[in-house]
Amino acid sequence: MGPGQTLDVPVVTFAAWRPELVLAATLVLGLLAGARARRHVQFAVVAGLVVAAVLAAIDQDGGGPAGRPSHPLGAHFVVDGPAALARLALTALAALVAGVLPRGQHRSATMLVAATLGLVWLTEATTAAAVLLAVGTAVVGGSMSAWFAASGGQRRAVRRWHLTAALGFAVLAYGLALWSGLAGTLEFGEAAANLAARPSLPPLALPLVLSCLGVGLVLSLLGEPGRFQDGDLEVVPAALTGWLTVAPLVGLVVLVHRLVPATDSAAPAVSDFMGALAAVLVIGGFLAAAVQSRLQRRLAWAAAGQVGLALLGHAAASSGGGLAISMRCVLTFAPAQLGAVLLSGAIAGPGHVGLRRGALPVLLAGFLVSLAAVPPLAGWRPRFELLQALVAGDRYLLGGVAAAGTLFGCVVYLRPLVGLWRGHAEPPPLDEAAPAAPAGAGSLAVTSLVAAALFAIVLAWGAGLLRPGWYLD
Amino acid sequence: MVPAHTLSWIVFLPLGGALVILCLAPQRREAIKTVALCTAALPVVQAVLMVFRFDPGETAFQFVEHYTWAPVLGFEYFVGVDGLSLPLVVLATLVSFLALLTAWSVESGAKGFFALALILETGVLGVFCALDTALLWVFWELVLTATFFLVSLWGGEEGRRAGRQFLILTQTGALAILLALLALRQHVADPLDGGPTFNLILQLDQANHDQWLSGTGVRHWIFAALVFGCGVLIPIYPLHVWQPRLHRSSPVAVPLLVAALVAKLGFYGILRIAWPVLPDAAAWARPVLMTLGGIAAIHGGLGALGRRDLAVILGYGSFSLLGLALIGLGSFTLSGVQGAGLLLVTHGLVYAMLFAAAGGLYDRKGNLDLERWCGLYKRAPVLGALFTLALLAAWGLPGLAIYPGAALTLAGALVRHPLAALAGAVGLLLAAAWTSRVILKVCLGEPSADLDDLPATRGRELGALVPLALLVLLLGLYPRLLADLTSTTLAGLVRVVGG
Repeated sequence: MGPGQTLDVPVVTFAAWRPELVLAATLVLGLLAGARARRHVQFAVVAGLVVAAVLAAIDQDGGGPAGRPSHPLGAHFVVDGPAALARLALTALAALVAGVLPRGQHRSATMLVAATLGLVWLTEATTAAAVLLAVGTAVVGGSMSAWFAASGGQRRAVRRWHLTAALGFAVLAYGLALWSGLAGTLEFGEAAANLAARPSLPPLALPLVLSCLGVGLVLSLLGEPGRFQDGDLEVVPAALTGWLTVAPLVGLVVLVHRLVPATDSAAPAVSDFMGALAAVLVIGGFLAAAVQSRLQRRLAWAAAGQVGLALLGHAAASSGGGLAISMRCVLTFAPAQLGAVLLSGAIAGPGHVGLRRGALPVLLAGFLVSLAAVPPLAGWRPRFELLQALVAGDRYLLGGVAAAGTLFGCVVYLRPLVGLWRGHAEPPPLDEAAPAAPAGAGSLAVTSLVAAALFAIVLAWGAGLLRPGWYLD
Repeated sequence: MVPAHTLSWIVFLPLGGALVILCLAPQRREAIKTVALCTAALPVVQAVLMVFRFDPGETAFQFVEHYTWAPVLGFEYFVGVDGLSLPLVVLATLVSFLALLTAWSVESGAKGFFALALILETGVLGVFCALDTALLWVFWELVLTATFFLVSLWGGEEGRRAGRQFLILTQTGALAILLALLALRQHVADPLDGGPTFNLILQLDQANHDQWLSGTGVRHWIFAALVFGCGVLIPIYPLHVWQPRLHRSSPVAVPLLVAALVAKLGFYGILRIAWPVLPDAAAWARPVLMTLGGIAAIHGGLGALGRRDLAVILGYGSFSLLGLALIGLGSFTLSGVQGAGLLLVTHGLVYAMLFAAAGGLYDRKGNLDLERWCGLYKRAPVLGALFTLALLAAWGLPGLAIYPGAALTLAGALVRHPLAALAGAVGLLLAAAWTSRVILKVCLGEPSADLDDLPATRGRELGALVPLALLVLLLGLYPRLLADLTSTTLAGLVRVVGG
């Protein structure tokens, strides 16, 4: 496609990579200026992420049906509809998270940009090599961001994650090598034709390769989900924990979408495999979450269950319709999860005793109710759509898994609210002088604003005023 | 004059009140309660006005509003009422208003309590008005979530456990209903475009069901899922385990709402969806429903007889009477179903009155232990008299509200299943026993020493109890007032199931 060529929705080829260009420039700026002028560097990094998010929003027409704009890194990457949508979500989330990081965290913010760039590439990857590059960048960026954000005494948890991520990366690399051997190509697009041309595949070959890929991706990008809360202490700021439990999922769902068509020739086996994997994640994730006593750890483990539900979308329908459901599952999950983790840090964090009263707990309740897929907040619509697709496809067993996941989700997300609100602490009299602002009141105010913005999204999606990824229908 | 969009106003006014309350400071308790009461009062007025505009001879739904909501998901905002739902709408508005009046003494966490109670009211009203099954499910979930928080947050340590039980059981039921509704939607074709539909009126027409849905086994499974989901709320034996704990632990306004309204959702779900959409499956399940109703009638009566806590006694009594209604429903006769329909409304009124009176007792002494109450009639004669009247009505005394429904139910059941009718009669005898016990213990006799300083009946208590007492008398003496509203719709339902 040449510059200026129009799709159904007009799009200029140049537009496809503007957000990545801004992200790369922000990363370079952050790395070069990181040693000094901390405050300004952090501000510049946040500004860069905001600009990237705005450009990603403008470029939302990148997935027009008639063709795909080319990518500056060549045919290894492509910006289609799902990738453009995921890019918007990733950059917007990163901008919000970097915006609420405490002062002096400019290195962490810079590495967050690297992680974002890696995940954006992951959503655009069309070859095995591109996936490796993307995952490597995302893992290094994410883990280094956590490393810089953690104080010296608490870096043990981050170090453990480094090891897990390295192991996962190795498994992924072997998995991709096996995949290439099986399909005879690095390109996902060619793989479908090659696999179809093969007279037969060894019975366990495809599930084995897919298992390697799945385990590698999960270990490298997610690791142990509740890793960053050690007792009452937060190893890294809550916002960063939220980002690490949300952003990789966005990348993973789009990558799965790109891999599934490449295995069309073995579609029933892949679909069954995806269903089984999703069931394990749903049941395992929510059960592990249910036994956690700390809210952040509970939310982090439950994220695995949410991934399972998103994957059920793939198993539910044709790859197009399945992707739309999965994307909506993840996109409605993302703001609610990030908001809940942010507020759990703000409410339970040191210096914020007594914040159970006021608007923040109400917002937290809203996020958790949305995560539990209770109407009328955002989470219930994709869940309804998912169950509908499963029933329409006569996949009643998977429908039962999704229903069980929803039930577990209700218990996991609603029970902490009872703990939070019980006791009904007596509010101070109205004429009492307002207490002095607690420590960190500034960052708390920013957190509140960000949470309110996220909640507005959750509310609007729930009421049907916005429809995430409408063009994926 | 009934304004346009009457039903939407009735359904969403309480939700608007809840949002206003959430914006108020928690210290402004009086303002919170006033807002709650005002936003609960307006729907009562509108609902009563609607009764005068309602044509009872009309079989079609009235006050219909129909808009597109989420076309991709196939949702529509489609509401309307008929002879089955209108009395329940009136009951829901009235009981919610009176429950808020009863809950006036709630001070701890008043903001959350009143906001949740109003959200619960919106959910209940939405279920009664929805004609799109997806919309109905959305409101259903709203009711369950609000009830879960009311029970868990205001019910002490016991309430926490009750809430957990309630959440797991009712959400499992709600998911069973959802899967059943999705299966129905997928296999009912809209005659206009041939596509799947959540439209309840289209689902009622058997000609729109496809071949898959015509399979007997499939219909039985879907019916079982719907009855399971609804049965958790009624509650059907043995799905009632959450109920005694809830009654033991929550402020009286919560059991009042649960017994008088939330339980009705279960019956309504069966009557509105399961029965008419799958009549052959209903006929298949008829003996099971009647048997479960008989067990509930006896089990509830025995449970009420053996307890000391008044709230628990009332909970078991309510369970027993709803068992009787289930017997009537399962009889498939016109008189049985008419009786069950009457019982649904009068049970709501009588048990609202009983729980409101019990709330008055709890406010005075902080306990509802039967052994510690004696001689109420002498210390607070008005409250004692009203409480006695409600207990006599719960007994099923002729001339009071429960009697016409109970008598019709037994008459209908006797034709089809004499054993179930016998069980219902035993349930009524047990009701006579436990109500007599409560009257003798609480209302009559010499007052104990610790009741010497018992405050007199308060104005707001009278405000809650007197209208209910008048309705209990009116519907007992002139049941046609209610029967005329419901008869056309219920007769149509009985015809559908071949009774």
